[in-house]
Amino acid sequence: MKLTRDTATPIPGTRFIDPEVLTRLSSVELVAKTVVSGFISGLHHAPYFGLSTDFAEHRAYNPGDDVRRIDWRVYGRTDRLFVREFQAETNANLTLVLDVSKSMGFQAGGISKLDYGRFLAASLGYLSLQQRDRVGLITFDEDLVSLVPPSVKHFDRVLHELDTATPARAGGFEKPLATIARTLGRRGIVALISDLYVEPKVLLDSLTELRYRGHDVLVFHILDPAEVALPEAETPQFEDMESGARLSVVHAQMRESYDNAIHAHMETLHRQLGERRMDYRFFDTSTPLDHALFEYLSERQHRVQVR
Amino acid sequence: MSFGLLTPLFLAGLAAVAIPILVHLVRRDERTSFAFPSLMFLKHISVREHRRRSIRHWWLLALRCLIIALLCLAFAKPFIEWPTNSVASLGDSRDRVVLLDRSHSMQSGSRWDDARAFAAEAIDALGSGDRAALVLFDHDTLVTQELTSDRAALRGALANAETGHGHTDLNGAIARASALLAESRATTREIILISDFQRSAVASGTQARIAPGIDIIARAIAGTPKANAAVAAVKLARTPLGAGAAVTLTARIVNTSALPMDDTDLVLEVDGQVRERRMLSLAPGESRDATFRLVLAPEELLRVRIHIGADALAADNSFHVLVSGPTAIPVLLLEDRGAPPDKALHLEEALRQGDTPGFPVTRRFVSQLRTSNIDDAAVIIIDDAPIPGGELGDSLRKFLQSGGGLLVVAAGRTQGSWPNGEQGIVPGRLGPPISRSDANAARLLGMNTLHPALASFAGADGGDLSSAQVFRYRRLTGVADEAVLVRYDDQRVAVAERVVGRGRVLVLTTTLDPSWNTLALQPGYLPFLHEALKYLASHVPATSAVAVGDTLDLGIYARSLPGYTQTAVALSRGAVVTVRTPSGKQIPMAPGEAYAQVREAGFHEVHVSGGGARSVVFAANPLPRESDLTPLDVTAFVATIATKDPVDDTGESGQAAGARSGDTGVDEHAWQLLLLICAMLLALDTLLSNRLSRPLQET
Repeated sequence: MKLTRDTATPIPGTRFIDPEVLTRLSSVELVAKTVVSGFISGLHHAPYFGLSTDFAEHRAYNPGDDVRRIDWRVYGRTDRLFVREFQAETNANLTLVLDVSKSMGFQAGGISKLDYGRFLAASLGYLSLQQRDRVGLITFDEDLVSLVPPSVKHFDRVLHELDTATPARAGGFEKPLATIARTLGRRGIVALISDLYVEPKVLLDSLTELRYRGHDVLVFHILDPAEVALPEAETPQFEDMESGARLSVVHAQMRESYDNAIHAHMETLHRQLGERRMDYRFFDTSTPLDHALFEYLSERQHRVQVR
Repeated sequence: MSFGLLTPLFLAGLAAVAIPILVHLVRRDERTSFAFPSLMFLKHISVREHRRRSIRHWWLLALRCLIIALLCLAFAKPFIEWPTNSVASLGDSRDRVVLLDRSHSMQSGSRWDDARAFAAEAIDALGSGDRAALVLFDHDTLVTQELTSDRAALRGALANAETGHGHTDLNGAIARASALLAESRATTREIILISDFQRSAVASGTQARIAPGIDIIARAIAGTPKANAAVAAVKLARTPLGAGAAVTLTARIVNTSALPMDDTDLVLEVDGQVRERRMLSLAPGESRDATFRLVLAPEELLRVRIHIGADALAADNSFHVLVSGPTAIPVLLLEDRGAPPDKALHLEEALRQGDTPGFPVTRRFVSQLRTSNIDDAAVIIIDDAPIPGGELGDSLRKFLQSGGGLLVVAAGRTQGSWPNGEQGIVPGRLGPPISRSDANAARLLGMNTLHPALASFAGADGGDLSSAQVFRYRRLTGVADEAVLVRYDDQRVAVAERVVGRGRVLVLTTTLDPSWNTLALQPGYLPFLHEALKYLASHVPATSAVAVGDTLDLGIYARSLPGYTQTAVALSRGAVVTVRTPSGKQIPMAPGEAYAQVREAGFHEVHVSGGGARSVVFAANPLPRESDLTPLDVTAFVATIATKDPVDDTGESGQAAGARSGDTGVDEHAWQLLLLICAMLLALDTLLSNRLSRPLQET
């Protein structure tokens, strides 16, 4: 399965916003509002996909329970009183985990991966905020860089941190994700936004810890189109943005191998994360954000409904 | 029209074309790089072999290879040659100096004939308006024909040209030819240098430079290699044998060729008679010494010629020497009758030492002196005795004026007159003795070691008289500073000089015996005496032979020969001299001119007019270095003398070494054009490289 997005296929009823256009907006918040409002208005009467009110199970009625939660349909079939329980009674915690390592600063075209990531995070956060979820933010590279605990009131801080995030250091996953797993006490949703230059096993091991702690893990894989298809640079000398290592690249001989390697990497991530019940979604930075959100959330809702 | 290269060895630099290829293959652009998020996937892809084999920018590589190739070609100095008739037809004027080597090495094989043929060719190739000069050279230059368009005159001068016995001086010849062309206004000025280009030909003289605008065309003449040996030198060692001397002659014979010399004759001739004959074989490059012994009667002179058999070069097969017995400086020692008998013991013993020259001593009391005694001496020593006056004083003065020497030892018995006036013979005024205590003895300091009589005391290795203690000495005053040779430590005069006519007088103000000082006990006593007497006698070491090219002072030479004092005097007085060369030429010298320019090898006879004068003979030989036929690097030599790029030819065959001769013209400026093209290509390369190295993307 090829994970590259076919941008030539519009989704009816949605209004796609070019990421390059978004970069001209003055603030991350404005970007988020623009994306989300467009996204919601494009849905028309689409059902509400909130996760915090998902039905979980029935249980027997006990005195003191809210009679409004009695499922009368079940009573009609069984003559016994059952109340409906939801997975989360209260609003969920959405923790946005954004990779701000140097490699995220790569920008071959119109928008860097970091910009795309911060727009995506802001949009997800804004969307969740509309659902009365608590939104927090953690940025990391080789260690944690900033941490805003999930809260309904802290979205301004989230936006500020997103706005000021800069790629400064090399990246890593083991240490920061282990720290995050220890830090996030209450179960919630963890949305990891990164270019995922890490061995799948290392990433899986790190995320599994979060999964074991009951978090719902969403992985957004962000790459520049120039990373998906090996670019033909003027100089054959490629320099790793994080390690500084250099390598001579012969485009003609290496392009195919590179394409195979990066797609194998993405497929591995997709398969293995799915096996561990974690969501994986790949976006390249030319993908319109509302399109990305719509595609992802549609799929997720479908999966929840199936569940 | 033909093409050629002056320095084809530079084409080896074409191997450098591999450099840009390697650079293009292995070069890593350290300056520019493409920032990429991660090499995580790329580094697992093995492309090393691909990368090494891959060459980017083929046309840039080709451009760089072309630049290197053009540079190599430019340094190889390509030239284009065409017949000069076409040049003449265009109306260009040409002045040409034909430099023809006539040194004695040109007698080898067919060199001289080849050289003359090339010179004739250079003359015949002249156009109607062209001019040429013919200059013969060895160690000297002889303009046999000034610049002229008269070909007949040039051919006549060439027909009369002969080889000589001189050695080659290329620098001098080129300087002369360049001077001849300096005033020329011809559009083409050139020097045709025809020589065998021996390596030794540039060993002397100042490096010549030809003026800008003058072309030099070198024609190397090289005959077929043949065996050649030379009698390079003969050394003499004299030992007294009775009244005469035994002389050992050691001749050095050198095979200067790369071929062996088998069973060649080695002959000793004395006064034209063969005395001894030996057989000799020499390996290539080998040198051997052969020793002969002769016995000479007193004042006998022998004309000795040592020669070997015929070979490639006849001129160096003979070595001529004039063998004479030991030379002597007759000393007349005048003493006071009242002096102790052993007063001259140390003096006589010191003069008895050595035989180059010897100092035969005749002792006389002043009271017994006769005029004839004075005439037989070269140097007179008045040892602590009165200076003769009257008729003897006049004779003494005449003796000095004609070149004799006088040493006056002024001490306690030096009484009577001190002839120091204008007609006198001694310097200063002699005062009373000054006594110094044993503890305060005077020392000889302030020695003028620049004076020839004291030159052996110069420097740290020279002799030393300063340790001698002087207890008494006579005061000598009124002597000019420049006439004082040695002073005591109190600045009083120890030795002073006066020149009388051609003669010299030295005055010593203390004794030569140990009565007043310890001088006679010092190591420096003997050299002091010997050098002083040689100076007083104007002694010149015997010269057995001179080199062709030397200028010989006949007066000094005659003085070095035993028994030729009168001849030396006659020469010094302006006697008429005629030199008869070995080839039989009579060369009259101007009156008073007693210098001989040696141009031939062999025995020269110098006839001196005047009473008592005898004919003088001297021997001359070519310089041994002329026998070395090893050629020099003509290309390098011409390059060093040429202000602009030269044209030269080299070769080892018997033919003319180069293809170019007087009937061809050459354009060797192609290298300049090539360099210009290289510069333009380099600029293009720089421009393109900069554009290519500009990063496509900035991250």
